[in-house]
Amino acid sequence: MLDAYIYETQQLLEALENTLLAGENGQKLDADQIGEVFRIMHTIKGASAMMEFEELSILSHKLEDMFTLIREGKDPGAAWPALFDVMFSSVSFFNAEMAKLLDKQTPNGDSLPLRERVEVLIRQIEGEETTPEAPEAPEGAGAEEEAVDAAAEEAEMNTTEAEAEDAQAEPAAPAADSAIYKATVHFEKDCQMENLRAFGIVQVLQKMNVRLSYLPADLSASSAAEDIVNNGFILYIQTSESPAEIKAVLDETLFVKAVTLSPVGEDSEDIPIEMRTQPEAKGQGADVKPAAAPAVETPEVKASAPETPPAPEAEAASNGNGDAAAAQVNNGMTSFETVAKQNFISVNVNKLDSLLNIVGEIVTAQSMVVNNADFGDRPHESFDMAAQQLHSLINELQDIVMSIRMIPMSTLFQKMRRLVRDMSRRFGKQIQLEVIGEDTEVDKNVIDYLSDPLLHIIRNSVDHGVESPERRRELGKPENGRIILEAKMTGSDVVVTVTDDGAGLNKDKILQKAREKGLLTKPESELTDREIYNLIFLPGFSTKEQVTEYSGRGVGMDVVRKNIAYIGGAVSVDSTPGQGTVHTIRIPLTLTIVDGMKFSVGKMNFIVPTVNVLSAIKPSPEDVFKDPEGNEMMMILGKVYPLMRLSRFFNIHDTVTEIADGMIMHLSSDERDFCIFFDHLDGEYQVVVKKLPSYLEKCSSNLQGIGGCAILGDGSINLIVDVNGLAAEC
Amino acid sequence: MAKIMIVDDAAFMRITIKNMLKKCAHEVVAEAENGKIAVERYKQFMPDIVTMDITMPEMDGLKALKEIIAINPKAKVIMVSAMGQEAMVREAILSGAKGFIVKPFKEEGIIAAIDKLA
Repeated sequence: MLDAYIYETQQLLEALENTLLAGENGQKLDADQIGEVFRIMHTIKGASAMMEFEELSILSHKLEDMFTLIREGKDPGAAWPALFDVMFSSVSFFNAEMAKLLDKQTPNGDSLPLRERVEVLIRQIEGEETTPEAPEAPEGAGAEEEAVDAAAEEAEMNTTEAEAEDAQAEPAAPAADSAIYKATVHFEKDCQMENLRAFGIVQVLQKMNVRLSYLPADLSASSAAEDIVNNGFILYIQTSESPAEIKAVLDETLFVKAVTLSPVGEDSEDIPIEMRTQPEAKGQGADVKPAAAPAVETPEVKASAPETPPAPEAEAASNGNGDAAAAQVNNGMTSFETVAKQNFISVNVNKLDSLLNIVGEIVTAQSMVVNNADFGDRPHESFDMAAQQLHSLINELQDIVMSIRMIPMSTLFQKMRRLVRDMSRRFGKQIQLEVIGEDTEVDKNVIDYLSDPLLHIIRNSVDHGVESPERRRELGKPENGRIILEAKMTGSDVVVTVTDDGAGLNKDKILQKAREKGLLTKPESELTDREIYNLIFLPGFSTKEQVTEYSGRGVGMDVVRKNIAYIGGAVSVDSTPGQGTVHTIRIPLTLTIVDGMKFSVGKMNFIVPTVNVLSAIKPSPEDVFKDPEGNEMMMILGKVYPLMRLSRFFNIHDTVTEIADGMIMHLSSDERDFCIFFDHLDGEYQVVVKKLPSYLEKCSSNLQGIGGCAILGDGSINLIVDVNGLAAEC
Repeated sequence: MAKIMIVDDAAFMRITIKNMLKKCAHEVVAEAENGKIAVERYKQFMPDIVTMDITMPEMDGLKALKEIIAINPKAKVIMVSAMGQEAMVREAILSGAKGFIVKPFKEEGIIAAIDKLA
């Protein structure tokens, strides 16, 4: 239960932060966004209250209050910046408390300082309204039209009720056998909003053949609920119905604890004045409690006055809410994304791992069943049809399982947005973070491991990269610095780049530092610029001169590299002095679907990612020749490429040896283009890349050039060629 | 035994209510995360009792309540409200809600409410 609470609250906070960030550029939120923030605070409030996390629930309540005001049309105006600050601080506060909960600690943060800031804002927002609020129109001017609509809608609704009332009004006139009863209703302790529960009772009774009077008379008065708690809800009911029926209605009302119902004499002192006199005319309101003043001037509504909620303020308020409700419905489309986000549930990744493995096993088992030798050559038409259906279902299952583990980068990038915002404010810099490709989906693990390195790199870019606005002006650059965060898929890798348009890296400083620390392994003159820049990733290297709150925590870029290397990735940096720095992180997908070409060498099956394939050629022997050292070369369109016989490289026996009998594939890698020679090309497949089992790494076989493996639909195991790895070997 | 549908945009609240109801003899036959889905599922499952959150995206609880009452005027809908939603609760009552429960509520509260309606 706690897990569900934490998870959902975190999701909501993330959505909230998204909305706030989206709105902050324009320094205000639009109506949709206001509605969304309101809903989020409302949900967090409710959930926190259920979990009895009081500080969280009161803070969210306060924030909800503030957004209720704004939603009702009060414009914070000049208070927007302060409001954004408070909201961001609150998000941080909530997040910190969630972190404590995750750590099995009690959320003990004190929300009072935040609440006080919210209070100040609320007062400010209320003060913004220049004209004193008229009770009939709490909405802002802009909402008036909708308010009218809502009123009209309500009027319509009430008209039908009024008709019903009319129909009943005739028999409601006291019949000869009618009697007056006094009922006292007590509600369950702490069931809250007792006045509205009483209002509910009144509504139900009025649909019956009765005349009513009750205490407290004004159910919308602020003291009504308390009165009812203390004295009970007292009704005088004049009816010809049997008392048992009345009692049943009262008893059936939710949260009613006790009901006493007793007849009172016609002329008893107890009976309220209006009960003693006959109603003058139907629909006048006399048969309801006296406080029921008609709220709106339209005749239709007046006719329904007996049914209309009593005080004008309440009426107006309910219009206001109807309006808000309508707005919410309209918002439906835009907030759909948020809805989708809230639909997530958390699942242990280990479970997903085993699910994936099982699906792989099912594929194999399926193939064993379908191609079972016991069937022989007999025709089995219906079996084939069933098998076909099974096949397509399993394919679908496989796709779903794959997609479950993939999550978009947007969650990660979101954090960065916030970081850039907070840091640039702090350092007085003006930096725009541009995000590209946040929909790129990667394995869950990748996101987890990428988070810290990315934070670190971006901190560096903000802190040391982008210059202050003054300095940028001097340099003739635009005052607004830019950091571009981009994610994209390139074949089997995800590439994340962080590009800033700041000062760039200082080559001389890096060299000097590297010299001091003895990190240089080559003569300085042989180092390329790129190599110099990448020295910053060496352990023990750090050019930080000044430790700042954000970028200096005693961790250097070597930690970044270590973290990324841990998930099999690589990081590099390039820079142009005065123009900026580009950090590039490449991460192989631990789990992905790859389009590949399948081929065989002897009995071994291989898959090579299609992105790496330039062409596949049926070679003629004269295209292949040897260089002076005996290495085979292949001539394609007048250019010569090294040729690698996979049978020799992987030491596979019983393979094609004659060039004319086999096939050549022309591959491109990061480093260079080259050719491989194999036996037979089997066609194109979409495969699920799986890591090689770890026990293979323990045995001594040559894994260079193998990036993973894949099980095909027929259950065969295929090795996936790591083209870059192979290129390094030839 | 009554068939119950839980409508709330917060998964946490749905789980909470569901867990609370596990202890009584009723069966949760459907859940919905907004009013629109709630109306569809109502038609599909025709539950005996609906617990309906008020503030939801897409379609709020009041609108859903009205649509459900339009489908079945005898539908038993309990609104799940929070403090501060008095006006909406009032509207819900006028629209035919059988009652309401105020967050945060206790297990006994919601079970008692549902038992009473069942």
